[in-house]
Amino acid sequence: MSEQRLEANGICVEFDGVRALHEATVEVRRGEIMGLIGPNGAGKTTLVNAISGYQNFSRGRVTIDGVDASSWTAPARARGGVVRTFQAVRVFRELTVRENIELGAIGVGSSSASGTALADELMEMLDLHSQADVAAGNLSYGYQRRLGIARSLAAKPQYLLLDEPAAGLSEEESVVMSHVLRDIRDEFGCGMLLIEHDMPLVMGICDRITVLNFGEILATGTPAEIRNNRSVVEAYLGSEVTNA
Amino acid sequence: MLKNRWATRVIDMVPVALFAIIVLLAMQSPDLQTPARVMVVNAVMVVGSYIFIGNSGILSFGHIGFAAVGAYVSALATMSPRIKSGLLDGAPAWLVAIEINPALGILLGGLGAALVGWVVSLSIMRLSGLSAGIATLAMLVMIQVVVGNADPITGGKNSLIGIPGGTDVYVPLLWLIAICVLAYVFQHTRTGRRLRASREDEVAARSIGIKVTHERRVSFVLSAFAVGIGGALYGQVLGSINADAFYFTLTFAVLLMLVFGGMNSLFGALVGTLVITVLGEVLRRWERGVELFGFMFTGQAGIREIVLGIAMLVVLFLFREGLTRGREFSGLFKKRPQAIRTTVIPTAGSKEKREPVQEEKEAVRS
Repeated sequence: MSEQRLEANGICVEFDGVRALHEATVEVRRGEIMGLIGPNGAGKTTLVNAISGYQNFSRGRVTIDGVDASSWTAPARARGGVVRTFQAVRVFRELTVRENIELGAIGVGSSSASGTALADELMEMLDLHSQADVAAGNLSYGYQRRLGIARSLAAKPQYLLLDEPAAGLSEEESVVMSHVLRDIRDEFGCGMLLIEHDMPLVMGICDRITVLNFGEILATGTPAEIRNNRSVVEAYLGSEVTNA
Repeated sequence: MLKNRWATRVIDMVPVALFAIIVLLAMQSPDLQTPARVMVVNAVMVVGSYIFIGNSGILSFGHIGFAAVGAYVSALATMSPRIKSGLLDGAPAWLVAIEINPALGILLGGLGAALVGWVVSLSIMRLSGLSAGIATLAMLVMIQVVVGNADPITGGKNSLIGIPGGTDVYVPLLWLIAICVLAYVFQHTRTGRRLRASREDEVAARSIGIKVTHERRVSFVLSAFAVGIGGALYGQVLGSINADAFYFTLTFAVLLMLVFGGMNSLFGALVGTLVITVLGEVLRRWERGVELFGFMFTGQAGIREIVLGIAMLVVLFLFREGLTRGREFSGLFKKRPQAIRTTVIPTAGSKEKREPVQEEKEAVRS
């Protein structure tokens, strides 16, 4: 088990005969941020669903540090170190911020006491401590997004899959988010797969980027390589980023 | 922090104590003894149902089936062989011969219900939401049909009579307290907390490793046990049972109490039982006729059901989550902290500063 990486290999998903993913392959190493970009409907969320156990696939396999996890349920994959967030955040609305985070730890089987300690730590790190006893449903959108990430981190992921963590955030909040994501990588050492449309954020913090288009992988490479990749520019980036 | 938590737990047990005191006071009046005893038994079934319904968020229409199992197991195990041989035609010899202590019979009833609950949970707990609710309804019908037709064992449609156990209120009351403590402790265990998370958002719960089906099964079996105890107590308090007693009427009575009080808290389960019982009793007396200021008032027959129905609607319109709005007793004394909207002003590095904007978000509890 020397290979410390999360791999999705040749994933094929079809919805009623419509091809959503075809031979999609992506790899996340521990400690790196891998961006996953592409136009709407390219299959980014479907790929994250397939990796996290929310979507069955007809072909391909998912391996966690070399162990085949293709047949594992979503909770089993979370316990195996692959934890995801959601585009719609999905906080436990009636529970407090603290309880939400504690549940991340309790969910994967940690003791209540260690959950409490971890919640304190994460609230400090993500600047949520002032809201500790607020019902999560009452939080502003930006806070809810950060809470969603804190809850996932409490599950002690080896690999964190983030589905548009900056969607709906203001420009300032988006900058804060990029710092937060970098801090997470540095402090937790986990690998991250980041779906995001915010190009400055993606280009700024990702070590590598994978581009998905019509369910197929278009390119994988460093931000610089992606920016200069002709087919990527044509399919997705357009001229805005090349100028930036 | 820890001290605070224990204080909360003690305060949350106050309604249980108050409930017990009300029952003991009611027992002082000969007129109220039977309603008080029935209320305690109902409370056991309501709190028992709450263990599953309140924590999982799945409305079960089948729990009274567990009361039937508990009642029959306990009755058959405690009745005297002489009565059984008279009532049951063709019963197996061991069933007729068995006669255990009534106190033990209650426990056996609970365990029998838990066993049935475990078997049922293997299939039903894979379902969610409304389909799970419908499946529990099917379970209720199945149990009813089996109990009502297994003549050699249950006596079929005929009543089982002469169930020993006596008429004192202390045994049911002690069981009620035990079941309340069980329910309260359970909801604070990790299993209970994971289950409550899945009630809020099942998809998100799975993403942090919560095995929703498994957690539901645990609470389902525990809940079946508690309701089975309630059924066993029902038989002992009334002295006789029949299959029809454990069907839709009791199912809806118990659900009415739970939903009325608020199905998300133990406090709600107890409040609902108390209010609905008192209201029902008042209306029952009115139907029979009451004398007030020298005049005789007699309610129309059936007024009880109508008023209870209206009361239910009013509560659901005003408080979607029942009278207690999902809070435990200690929640009455806590102010819910309000979220403060803040704008984030990033400075160099990740040490942002934020300025609270005095725009408090309205306390949304829609």
